[in-house]
Amino acid sequence: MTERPVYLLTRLQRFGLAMLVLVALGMVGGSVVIWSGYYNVSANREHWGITTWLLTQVRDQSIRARADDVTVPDLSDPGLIALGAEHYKLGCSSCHGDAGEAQNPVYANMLPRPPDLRKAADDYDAGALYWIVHSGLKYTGMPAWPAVERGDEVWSVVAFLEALNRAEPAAIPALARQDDSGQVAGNCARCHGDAATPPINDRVPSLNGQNAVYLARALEEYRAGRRPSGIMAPIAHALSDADIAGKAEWYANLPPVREGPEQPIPPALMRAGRVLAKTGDAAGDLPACVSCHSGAAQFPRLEGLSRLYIETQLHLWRAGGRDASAHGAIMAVIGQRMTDAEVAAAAAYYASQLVEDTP
Amino acid sequence: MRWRTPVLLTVAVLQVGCSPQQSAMAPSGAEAERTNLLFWVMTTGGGIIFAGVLLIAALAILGGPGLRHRLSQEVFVKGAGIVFPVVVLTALLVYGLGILRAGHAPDLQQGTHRIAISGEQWWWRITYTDASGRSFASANELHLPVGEPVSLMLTSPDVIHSFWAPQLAGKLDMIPGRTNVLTVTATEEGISRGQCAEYCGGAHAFMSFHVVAHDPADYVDWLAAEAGPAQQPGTAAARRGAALFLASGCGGCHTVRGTAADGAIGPDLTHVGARHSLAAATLPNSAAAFADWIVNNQHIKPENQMPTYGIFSETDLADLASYLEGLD
Repeated sequence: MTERPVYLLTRLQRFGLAMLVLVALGMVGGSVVIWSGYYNVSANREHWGITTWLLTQVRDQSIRARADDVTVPDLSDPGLIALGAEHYKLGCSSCHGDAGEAQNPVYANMLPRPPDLRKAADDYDAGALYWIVHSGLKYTGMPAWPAVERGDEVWSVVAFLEALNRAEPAAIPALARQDDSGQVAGNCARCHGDAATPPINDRVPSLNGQNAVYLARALEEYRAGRRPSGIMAPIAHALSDADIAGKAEWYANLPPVREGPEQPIPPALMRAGRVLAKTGDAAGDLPACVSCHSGAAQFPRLEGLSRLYIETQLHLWRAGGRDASAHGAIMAVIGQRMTDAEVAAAAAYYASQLVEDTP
Repeated sequence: MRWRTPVLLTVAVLQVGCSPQQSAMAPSGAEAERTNLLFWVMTTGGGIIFAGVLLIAALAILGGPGLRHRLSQEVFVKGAGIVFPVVVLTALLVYGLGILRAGHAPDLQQGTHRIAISGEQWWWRITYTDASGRSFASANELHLPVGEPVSLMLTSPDVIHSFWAPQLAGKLDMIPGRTNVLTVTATEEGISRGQCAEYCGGAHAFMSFHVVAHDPADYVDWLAAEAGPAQQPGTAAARRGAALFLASGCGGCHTVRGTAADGAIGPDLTHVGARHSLAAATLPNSAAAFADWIVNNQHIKPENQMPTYGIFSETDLADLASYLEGLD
C-alpha cells in the first residue's frame, strides 16, 4: 500500500482559508437575520444607535459633497421670503408643521420624523438647504422639487427658512396669513395679487388683464407637467377644468395694478428693447416680439410683467426648460437665439409698458 | 439570379443620373453649352488619342520586326512622346481658355438684368429688380428671360454656399461678405433644377431650386405679377387661414406683401403657391405639403431655422394650407 502524499498548508494559506470561512459564516448569518425578519422596520421603534449614526453620517457627507459648489444668491428680499412662506404652507407644512404649531400627529409618527424647520438653518448653510429642497432625500419621505429645471424657485424656500431661523417678523405673519376666502381666486391672489394688490414678489407674474385663453393653457400645462414649476405644479394638480376656466376668466377681467416703476431703466436698454419688440433682429434671426405677443388670445401679453419674471422665463427657454408644450417649443427656438443683452433689453422694455399700451 | 439586383440597381442609378432635369450634359444656357462643347471636344479628342496609343502598343507587342524597329526609333519616341503632347495640350489649353473666356473681367453691366441671390441655411433668397428699379424678394426659384444675359449677384449671410444650375452654367461660390457675379444666358424655355454645391451644414442636400426660363415677353409679365401684392384669399377656409397666419406670428419671419406680414427672416411667401416646389425644392407644392411642413419641418429638413408649429388643429392646418396654396 503506497502512502498518500500529505499536503501541508503554509501559514498564509491557513490564514486565508480561515478568512474565507469567516466571510461565509458572516454571509450566512446576515442572510438568516434578514430572512428571519429579526430587524424591526416599524416606525414605532427607533433604529439601533449604530444604524442611526451611520445613516446620519452618510446623509450629511453626501449633502456636503454635493452642495459644495452651489452659488447662493441674495436671500434678503422680503418678497422672496414671503413667496417662500406661501410655498411652505402649501408644500412643506403638512409634514414639517406650521413653524411653532403642534405637528400633525400623522406626520409626527413618520421615521425619521420631519424636523421642525425653525432649526434647519442652524444645521445646514443656505447651499445645503437649497440642495436638500431641490434634490430631496432618499428613504426619508423628503421629496425632490417637482420641477428639476426650476432651481430658481427653490431659493424662495431657502430664504424663508433662513428668515424663520432668525425669527424675523417678515416670515411669521406671511406664514400666519390664512386662506381668506372661499372665493374663486382666493388662493391665487395670495401670490399673484388681485384688483387691489400687486403680486407678492417680482418673480410672480401679475395676471390682471392677461388673456384668459393663455391663462387656462398655462394652468393645464402646469397640471400636465408640460410647463415646469415646483410651485405651480401642485397647485394646478388640484384644479378641475372648471376651476381653471373660472380662475382664468376672473384674472382676465381684473384691471391692471401698477406700483411705481421698479427701477429707472437706462435709455439705451429701453431703445434696444423697443427695437426687439417692434422689429426684431433679422440678422440674428429674431422676429419681433409683437409678431406673436400683440393681443392674440393664445399668446401671453407681456406688457406690465416684471423684468425679473420675463428674464427668468427667457433664461428657462434658453436652457431648454420650457420646450415640452407645443407653444413652448416655438418660443424655445426664439429664446435660444437671444443673447443675455437681448434678454435684459426685452424684459426691461416690456416691464416698463402699461397693459393699456397694447394696441 | 444573383447578378440581377446589382445590375438593375446600377441601371436605375445611371438613369437617374442621366435625367436631364439637373444635368450639365443637357445644356439650356450659353455658358453650359460652352462647357458641354469643351467636354465633348476633350472626350472625343482624348478618346481618339487613347485608341491610337492602344493601337501602337498592340503593334509594338505583336507586330513584325520591321514595324517594331521603326517604333523604337528615337525620332518616334521624341515625336510622339514630347512634341505631340506639347502641341496638343497647348492647343487644348488655348482653346479651353478661349471657350471659357478666362481672364474676362465680369462686367457688371453686361447682364441686361441683375438678380441678387443669397444662399442661406438652407434656402435661396432671390431679389429681383423690375424695370422701374424697384426691388422685391422671392425665394427658391430663379426666373429669367431666354436670350438675355442675366447677372446673378451671389452672396451669403451665414456660411459658404455654391450656386450651381448645371443647365445654365458652372458653379460659383457664395461667400459671406462679398458678392460674386455670374452672368448667365438661357438659350431655351423650360424648367431645370439647381443645387447648392458646397457643403453648408446638415440640410445641405435639401438646398435646391428650380430655374424657369421664359420667353422674354412672358418674363416681363411674370416679373410684373411677381412684383405685385398677394392674392386675396378666395374661399372661407383660405380667409380663416389668412387670419390664423397673422394671429400665429407667421408674419414675424415671413412676408406676404399686401398684408401685415413683413418678416424678413424666412422666405417671402407672397406668391409661394405659384412656385414649383416648397422648402427649396424639397417638397412638392401642394396643400398637403404645406400642412406637413408646418408640423414636421424639423423632420423634413432637420435644424432648419423654422420652429415646429404643433399648436394647430387639423382644421387650422387645412385652413392655413388652403391660404398658402392660394397665394399664386
